[in-house]
Amino acid sequence: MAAPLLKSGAVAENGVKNGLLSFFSSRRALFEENESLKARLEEVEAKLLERDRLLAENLELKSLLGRSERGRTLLAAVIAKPGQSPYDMLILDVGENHDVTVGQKVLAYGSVIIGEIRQVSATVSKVALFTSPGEEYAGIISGKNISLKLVGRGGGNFMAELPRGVEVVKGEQVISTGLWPHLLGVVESVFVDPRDPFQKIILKSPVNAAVLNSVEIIL
Amino acid sequence: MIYRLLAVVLIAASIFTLPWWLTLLFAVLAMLAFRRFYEALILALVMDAIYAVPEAGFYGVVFVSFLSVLIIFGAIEFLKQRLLMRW
Repeated sequence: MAAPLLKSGAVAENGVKNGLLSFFSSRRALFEENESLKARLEEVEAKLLERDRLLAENLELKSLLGRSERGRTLLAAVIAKPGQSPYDMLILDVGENHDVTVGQKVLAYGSVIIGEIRQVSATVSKVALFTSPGEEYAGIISGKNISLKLVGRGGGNFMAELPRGVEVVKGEQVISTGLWPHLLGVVESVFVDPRDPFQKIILKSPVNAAVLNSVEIIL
Repeated sequence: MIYRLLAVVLIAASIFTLPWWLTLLFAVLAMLAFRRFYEALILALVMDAIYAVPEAGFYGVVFVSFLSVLIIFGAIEFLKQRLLMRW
């Protein structure tokens, strides 16, 4: 007679237990995640301080060697982004009126090179992104001095090919050539086919051009 | 006639505000709905004039929108005739 009542009581008890357990376990998981993120933040802050110190040292050394001149940059607002047209481009609010010329390179966040000026009119200029399909740009794997040719694949991705014997790992940075290099992309994945003497490397630009509001043009 | 004009205004506005594929969708619908909607070709030229930039992916061609719409326009008009639809 009482079986249904007991069953329902047991179900309710289990439900409460599970609910409470999941409540505490989710709180514990959140606490652990919070602690892990705090530790990660401290590590990144320490690295950032080291980066600032190294940058200052780098600039000082270049100055000592008589190469302290760094290209001036011009801030430009982005008035049209990829997605608004079939073309993978940006339209900027500066043109000949601010001495912008074809071929000048464009930076995002001051350190990531994303494209070059392809067309200039009196008041606006158009930027072709290096990640556009078919676009080619020379880069170097940072720290290894291995040159490679990046070929745009669209959607913020590049592809490159290197001999299979060269070791490339995920997360390595590829920078532009020159005395003042800028970040081009980060290695996302490496495909090795035993039948192919070359390995295929997929890289991703750290910048999403579709969300940029302003960029810098190297004059 | 008023609907045709409204379609032109809508597509023209979408060139500046919406993703290109929505503009193309509106243009295709207008080409289906109206008889010989040549305005779509003019609007595609406007789009190219505003946004086109020589890219390696398009072999430096700067009339991508116009050429695409021209092909779609031809195909739609051909289909309309073949299917004996009366627009």
